[in-house]
Amino acid sequence: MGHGEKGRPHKKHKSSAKEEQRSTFVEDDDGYFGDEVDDDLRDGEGKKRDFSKLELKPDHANRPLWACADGRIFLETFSPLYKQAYDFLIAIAEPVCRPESMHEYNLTPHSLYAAVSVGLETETIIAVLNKLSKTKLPKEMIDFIHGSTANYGKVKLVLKKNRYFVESPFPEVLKNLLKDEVISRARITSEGLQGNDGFTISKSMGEMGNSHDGLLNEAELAAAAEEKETHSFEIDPSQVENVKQRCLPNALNYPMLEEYDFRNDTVNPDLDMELKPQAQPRPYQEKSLSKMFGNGRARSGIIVLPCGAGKSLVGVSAASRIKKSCLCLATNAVSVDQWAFQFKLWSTIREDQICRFTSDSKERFRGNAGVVVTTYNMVAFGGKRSEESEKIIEEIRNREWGLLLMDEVHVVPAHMFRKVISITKSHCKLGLTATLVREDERITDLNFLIGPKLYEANWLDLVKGGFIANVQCAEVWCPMTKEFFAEYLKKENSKKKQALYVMNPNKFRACEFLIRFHEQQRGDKIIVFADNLFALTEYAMKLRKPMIYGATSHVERTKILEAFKTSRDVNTIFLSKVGDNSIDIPEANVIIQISSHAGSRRQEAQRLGRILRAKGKLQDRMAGGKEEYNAFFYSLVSTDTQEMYYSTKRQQFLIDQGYSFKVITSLPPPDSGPDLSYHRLEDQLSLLSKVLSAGDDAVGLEQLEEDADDIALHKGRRSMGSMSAMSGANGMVYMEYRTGRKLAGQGQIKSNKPKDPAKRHFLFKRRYG
Amino acid sequence: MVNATKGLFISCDIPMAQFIINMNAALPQSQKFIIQVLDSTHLFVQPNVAEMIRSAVAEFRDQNSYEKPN
Repeated sequence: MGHGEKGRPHKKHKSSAKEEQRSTFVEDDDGYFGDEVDDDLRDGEGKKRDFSKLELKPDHANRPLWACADGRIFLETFSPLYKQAYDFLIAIAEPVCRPESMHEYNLTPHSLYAAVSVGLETETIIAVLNKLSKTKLPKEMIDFIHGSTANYGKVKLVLKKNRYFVESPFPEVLKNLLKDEVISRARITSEGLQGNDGFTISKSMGEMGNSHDGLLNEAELAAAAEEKETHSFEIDPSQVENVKQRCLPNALNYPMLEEYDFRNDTVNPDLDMELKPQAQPRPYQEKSLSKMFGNGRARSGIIVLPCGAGKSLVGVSAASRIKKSCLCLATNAVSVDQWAFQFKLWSTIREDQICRFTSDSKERFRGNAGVVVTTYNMVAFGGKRSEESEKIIEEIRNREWGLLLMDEVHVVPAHMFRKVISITKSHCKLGLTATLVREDERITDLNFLIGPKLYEANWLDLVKGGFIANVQCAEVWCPMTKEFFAEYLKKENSKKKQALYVMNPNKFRACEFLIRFHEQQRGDKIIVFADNLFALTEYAMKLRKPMIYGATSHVERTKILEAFKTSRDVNTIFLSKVGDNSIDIPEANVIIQISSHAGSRRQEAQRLGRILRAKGKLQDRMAGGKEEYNAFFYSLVSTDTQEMYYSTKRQQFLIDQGYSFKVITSLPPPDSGPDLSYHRLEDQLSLLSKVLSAGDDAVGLEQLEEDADDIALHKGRRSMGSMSAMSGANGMVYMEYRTGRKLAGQGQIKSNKPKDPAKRHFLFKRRYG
Repeated sequence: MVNATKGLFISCDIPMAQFIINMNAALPQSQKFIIQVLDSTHLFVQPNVAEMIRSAVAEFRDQNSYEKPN
């Protein structure tokens, strides 16, 4: 491995300033032993690739992993100890890449912080790692683990009666913290209560029997507990997040422990709910819950499970274990309904204890404890609300929540999170997601906004266990036709490139062929995804299939989805990116992707997630069963275009999860001829002229309000595209009229529409141009 | 009368032929190098442009392929 590895560039956890240096490493592979010694000394990274110093243990064959000095760990999945080693590694390290036989992990301060927060102690981590490693643990790694975990658990963040306190048994630590500007500014000094150094001292907060192993009798225990003093100071609720951030390993290095001792919480009323007996959590769901409730208390954090693996059951189980009021946040109204349904399905909660709060249904909260399901937007909304919803939001704000359950945490932009978290006061936060990747690297924010990652499932293991569908992923290469490619290359069409490669007739034919094949030969249910609205409508109209996009009303959506689920005649639906998240379509098992959101890895994974729910009999799905693959994911790509670039980039996340993409080059089969559309040149040419004559606005991407992961897009992006834009009724009349008036009135334009006169509708050019 | 012109015979796929034609079209009249477009996959060009075409095609391909950053 040492030799093969050496050209391999390193992991990201070092500062990006080293990026350039690293690229030179890769180039001068030959000068490995010569020139690079200097580099090694300079940044201490050189040892990474020289593994000859690692000492191999005599019984290394029985041990499953390699630990390298730079924090990287490689795990052999064929080892008999794989399962145990995997459970351990996932707790202490960040998975980087998990193909079939060899996994790569990375130790980071954050991952170690997560490890200690689930109750692993420094010495245990080192001892177990040493036991599993084929080589003697490098000293650097041991030091690193010590350094990252030493200060953990000394400081606690506690929510008491709607006020936040920073607590610690060590006054010196608190003094240390207060030396920091951010923290001292966030502090609220309360009058009267001050002890000699200004900390509030409470005597009854001792950890009950933590260090006594239950050997003492009760009287002694009580005495021991009373002797313990806890020092604390109050901080401003709006500053909680900043304070937490300052305490993270990369700053003051006193990561805060956020635990909720819900069993002993007598202030907040209990909610009477249990899991129904038929709700049987699967092994990995149990495991993720056990990480959360490790020592009888509830920890804040994030649980990562693939789509379709039963995230909602985990959420509902957590809520019914805490048994306090629960605020559940989802991304849109459809998933609010789904969550409310899941709560009723899995738990014994009464109808009147659960309420939904969306713009359509504002159910008032009754009783003193219950579950409220709402969207991020509703809570974070800054504008004026109706009187009714103002009342509800006031209630949400004033309540102390036992659990804040957050669905799809990866999609919510950081600023909205901040707002939600500052508005709602909760003892414990649980984030759920399938894809902890964002193109804008804002994922790290989640570490202090919610908490460490508690559990992350391995996709391939779940596939093997039959818990999620076994998907065959394929990339279908469609060559551009001569005419389309000629236009694609022209400079003046640079804004239409996307429309041109999406509307490529060969791609259309491939799509039509696949739909026909799966509908007729296999009786599958198919979802076709297109981000480009122009393409979505063209394809759907031509093939006469129903479609759903941003502007489709809730009623119509429900109707189409219902038809797709029940009717034998509706086997294919076209979805824009509204279908990426949270629309639950368990029937579908084929996805055809004709256009996508540039290079977004998350979107690719989310779309795949639409078909991951396991279907059919378990034994058929196992390797060697009747149907080894029972779900299909096709990504149609026009060759020789930008799409190839994006397509490869998008696949990275799934490849890191161990999926592989098969390349198909001969679709549709050459003999399909006139069976499929756009066989004749004239048809192709008329399609081409349609694309070219469509306005730049119309061929662009659809923009959804909740979409914020847009760094992935490349520069030349168009802003808006809607159905009305295509019909010519783009609201242009209204927009131009208004801005025209403003122009005349104040000479100032305040509009989000581009004011380029060349883009103006020709009718209006005469008037304003 | 028969005229003989020395040149380079290029055989490629349809999109690449379009790429080369587009390249040629972007150049000023004096530098145009295509002598004859034979059909959608065959071109006849000046004998000295092979390297230039090759590097332009390579650059175009690089733009369209993604390499995992590290």
